[in-house]
Amino acid sequence: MTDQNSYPQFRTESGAKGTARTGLRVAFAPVRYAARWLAGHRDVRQTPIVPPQSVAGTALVAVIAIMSFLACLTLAAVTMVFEQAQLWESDVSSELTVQIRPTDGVDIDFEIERAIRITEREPGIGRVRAMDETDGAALLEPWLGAGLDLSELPVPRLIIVDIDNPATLDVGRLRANLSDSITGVSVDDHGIWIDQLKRIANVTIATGIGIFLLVLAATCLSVVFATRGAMAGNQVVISVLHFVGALNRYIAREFQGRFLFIGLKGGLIGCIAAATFFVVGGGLLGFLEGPSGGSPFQALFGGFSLTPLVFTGFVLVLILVSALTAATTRMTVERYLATVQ
Amino acid sequence: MIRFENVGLRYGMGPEVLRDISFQIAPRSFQFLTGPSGAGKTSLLRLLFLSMRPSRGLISIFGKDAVKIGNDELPEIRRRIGIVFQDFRLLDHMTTYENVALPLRVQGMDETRYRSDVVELLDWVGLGERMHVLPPILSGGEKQRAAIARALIGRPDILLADEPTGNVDPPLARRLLRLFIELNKLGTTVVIATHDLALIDQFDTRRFVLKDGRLQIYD
Ligand SMILES: Nc1ncnc2c1ncn2[C@@H]1O[C@H](COP(=O)(O)OP(=O)(O)OP(=O)(O)O)[C@@H](O)[C@H]1O
Ligand SMILES: [Mg+2]
Repeated sequence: MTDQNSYPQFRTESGAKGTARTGLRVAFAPVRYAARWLAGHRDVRQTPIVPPQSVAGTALVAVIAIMSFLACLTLAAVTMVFEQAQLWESDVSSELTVQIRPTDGVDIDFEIERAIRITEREPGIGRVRAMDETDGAALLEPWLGAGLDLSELPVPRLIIVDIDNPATLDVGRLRANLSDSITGVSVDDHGIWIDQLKRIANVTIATGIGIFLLVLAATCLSVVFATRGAMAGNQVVISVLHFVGALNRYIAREFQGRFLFIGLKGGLIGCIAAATFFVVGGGLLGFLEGPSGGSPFQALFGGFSLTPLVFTGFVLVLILVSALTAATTRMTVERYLATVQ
Repeated sequence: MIRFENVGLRYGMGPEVLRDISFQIAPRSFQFLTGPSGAGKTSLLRLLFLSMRPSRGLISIFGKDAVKIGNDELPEIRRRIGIVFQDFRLLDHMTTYENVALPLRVQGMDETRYRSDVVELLDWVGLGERMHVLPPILSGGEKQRAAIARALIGRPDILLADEPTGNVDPPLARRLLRLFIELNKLGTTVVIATHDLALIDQFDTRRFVLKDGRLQIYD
């Protein structure tokens, strides 16, 4: 562990070789100090009692970074789906459609007029307007081609109804009133479609939360293994600390400080990677879709960008992962110390 | 201060290493513990240091029954005992200074409060120049003195030393022993385990002799 031939004063703390690694060490030094300070070491410049190189640090940092990355992505997906589901809810309550199928021997324009009057009498209704034939043709153009004369075809006609006050509106009564006096009428409040989307959203959210919890559990388990390894590798240190009269609490804190640093470092790397993924991925997606947008992906997730809410989620993941790492280490160490003396 | 009554010790299912050991150690006393290699000197020190419990018999330390001392009381008692191990047990990644300061550091003391004490003690054991050196490049005798300094820094009521002169030449061994005697005059109880009979013959003090697991005391 110690290089016998180098004069110790000039040895770097870990004997790290290469400027890149030394650079990284320097870059993470504030994080290291912060971790030790958070763990309760007030003089953070002292040599750590648990030798840093005795802890399988790099591997654990990598595991925690990957886990934080996955946790961030899952959390972001859940947040986005949740926000989008909320949007659908307000969308549905702002509009409904009345559809009239042409029937032989009935003047469709007259029926539309009557339907509009009936609808307008209902409470909670805002603007009501019929879609005229050219609007309908525009809707159907992608399928049937341009220059179409709809009057030759039995195409249903639509009335768009804006809802002013969803609380006072009774869709059931409106539907009954309309079908009492007009043949071939149907009212679509987008309910079925929205219900289905909401169910998909709920399943997606539940799955996401499940994955999130599993990722956290896997992180804790890796920390348990790493801590046990560190304890086994530091039996001399632990025995020395015991015979100089250190409390178990103090020993646990030494390990905790080390692992909190590893958790913070891994968490930072993972969360920054996730944020980068979002910024770059959002840009890339916008580029691929072109200006019109409207992919199925967008229908479920909404915009793919680093919103303040998503960013807050990332920060929470970072805090959660480091806190879990430290707490797991503490528990593992204390359980181990209770068995030796 | 310390009392043993009919103490026996065995490792696992092995034979009894110590048998019917009874003695008392008075405050401010000085004694050697001798006996051939494998006689059980280190084992007896382990009992004194509460790192092992006896298979039978009664041990009382600082007026407390050793069996009844809970894990939460142990650190407090160990801070009153200084111990020098046969194999030193210095931490290789910390400097000599930091090793010696460790007992004070784990008590949560601020470094500014103990720095001068540690430096002074290092000078006293002749390691002032080697303060910032890591243990792996210290010589055997230097390690030994670092281990002794670490045992003394917390001003213990009793000092236990296991072969503290095992790695040094006779003149240094005599110097170290005079250091222990000086310490004893300042009020510390001292127990020194050694099989170096030539050395202890130069000093006229109490002797515990272990042989075949039994103890004989020569006052
Ligand atoms: N951890 C252990 N497990 C089993 N047996 C042990 C253990 N430690 C010591 N022994 C046995 O106990 C006996 C006494 O050992 P101990 O180390 O106390 O002797 P010692 O007097 O200190 O010898 P030395 O002068 O060589 O240091 C020996 O026979 C040894 O093999
Ligand atoms: Mg021995």
